[in-house]
Amino acid sequence: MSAWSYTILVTVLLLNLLLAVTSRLSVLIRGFAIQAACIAVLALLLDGFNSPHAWIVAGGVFTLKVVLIPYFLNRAVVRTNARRELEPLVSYGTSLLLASLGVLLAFALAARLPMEARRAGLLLAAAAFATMLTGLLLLVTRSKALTEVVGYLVLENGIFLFGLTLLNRMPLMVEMGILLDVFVGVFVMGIVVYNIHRTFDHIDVGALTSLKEEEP
Amino acid sequence: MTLPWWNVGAVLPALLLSPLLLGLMGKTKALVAGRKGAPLLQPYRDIIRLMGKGAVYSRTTTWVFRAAPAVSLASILVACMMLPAGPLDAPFAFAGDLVLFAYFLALARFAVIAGALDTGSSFEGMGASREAAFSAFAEPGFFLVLGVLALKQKALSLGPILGGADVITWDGQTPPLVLAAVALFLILLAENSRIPVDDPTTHLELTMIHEVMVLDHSGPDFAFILYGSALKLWLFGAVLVSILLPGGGPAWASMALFLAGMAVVAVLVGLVESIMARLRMARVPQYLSLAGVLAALAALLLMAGGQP
Repeated sequence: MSAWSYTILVTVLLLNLLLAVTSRLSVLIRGFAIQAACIAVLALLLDGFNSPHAWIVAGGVFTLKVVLIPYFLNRAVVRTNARRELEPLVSYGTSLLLASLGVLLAFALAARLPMEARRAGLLLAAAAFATMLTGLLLLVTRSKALTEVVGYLVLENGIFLFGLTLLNRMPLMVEMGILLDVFVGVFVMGIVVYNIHRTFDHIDVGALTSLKEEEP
Repeated sequence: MTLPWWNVGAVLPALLLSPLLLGLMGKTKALVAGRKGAPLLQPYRDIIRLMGKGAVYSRTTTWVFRAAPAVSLASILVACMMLPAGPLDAPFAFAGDLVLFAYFLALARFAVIAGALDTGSSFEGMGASREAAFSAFAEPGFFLVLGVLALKQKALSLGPILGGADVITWDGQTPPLVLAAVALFLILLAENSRIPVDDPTTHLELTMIHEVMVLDHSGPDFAFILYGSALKLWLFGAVLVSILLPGGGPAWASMALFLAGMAVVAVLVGLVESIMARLRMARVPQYLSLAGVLAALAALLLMAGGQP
């Protein structure tokens, strides 16, 4: 692994910590987009700049995750007027602690993988696990629907990063299918978020746990 | 391990130049704010002026209060003697002295805290409690940074870790070292009571941390405290500069590079103070745990073998 991919992987790890502590949705979305851009560059670095396969994958990731999805998410932020996540289920200090524990766990997990999955080094697998765990953390501990969408996307970033360890073995169709799934998923979630906002006047998913009508 | 007596010379730059760091910092802040600012040598003048005055002691204080400034300055001076300055070796060094180094700084802080509590003033007690709490948050981060450096240099003594012949090189370990340097800078700001943790120029006791503890010290006692805090800033700056700057080359060149690096650190702190607002008190532990997490990540990366 070159010095560049090493630096990019450390950046991905740091972005995970940023995503875990920020309360601003705009920072969250930008952090996710930068992480996706890092992963696109990493796909090129790991597979060589001559492989058309890597160019297609990186291009797909870039168009969808760095340009389109952040654009739609930012629009949703403006439309629902939800700029900050004010009441996470777990405080931001604890989130940071949990995210760093996640990094520790990720390194422990990565060290136990069989050699085949560590083709590109321990750090790639560790960064992939850490990103998945951060996505999971965002999904579980945040109460705004938009933050949870970003959590899902970060989780997917981690899965994609893990896929990079086997990039030259994964069929192109599978990668493209996953990307398309993610895009459609975000699209649908965007509509759902907007409708939650229209119905409840906020996008707090806590309101969805009680689906019966209020007693008079 | 004892080194020749003339190694004591390594302490001279710290002794002579540390107040200049404070001056440089103040000047930077003034220039950024569009003021002319106090002259660079103002901290020296302050210290000399204070040394010429008499001290006033409240009747409620005991010997603890009187001993505090001397104990704190003495511990910081001893810590100074363990630190190499650029190409000069530290006056004394032994395996594991980095722990002693950190705890001499802690002893200095303990003395000031005890002195503040001894006055019986409620404001000073409040400041002491804050200082104790925040330093408890800063300590793990500081130890992790020192651990990262020890791991990198495979040595347990500050001399070989930071200076001497075997300087820190960056061969393929840039990310962990950058993380450690950033963590150390965050801790430097907190430990030296700078914005964003503490505001050294505030004049409202309720928001002070360090300054409120030393309100009752006067004359030479206060000069000791001022000089001690200048030295402490120098210590943290020296560790930071040793991480970031390459060594080697002729001794005068690396000495010049080291001093220039210290000046850059002072200007950098001044800039941070100019552009940032102070954090809310409740956010400070989060800020300090961020420093700890960055240092821990650096250690983890080094232990995972660094760049394959």
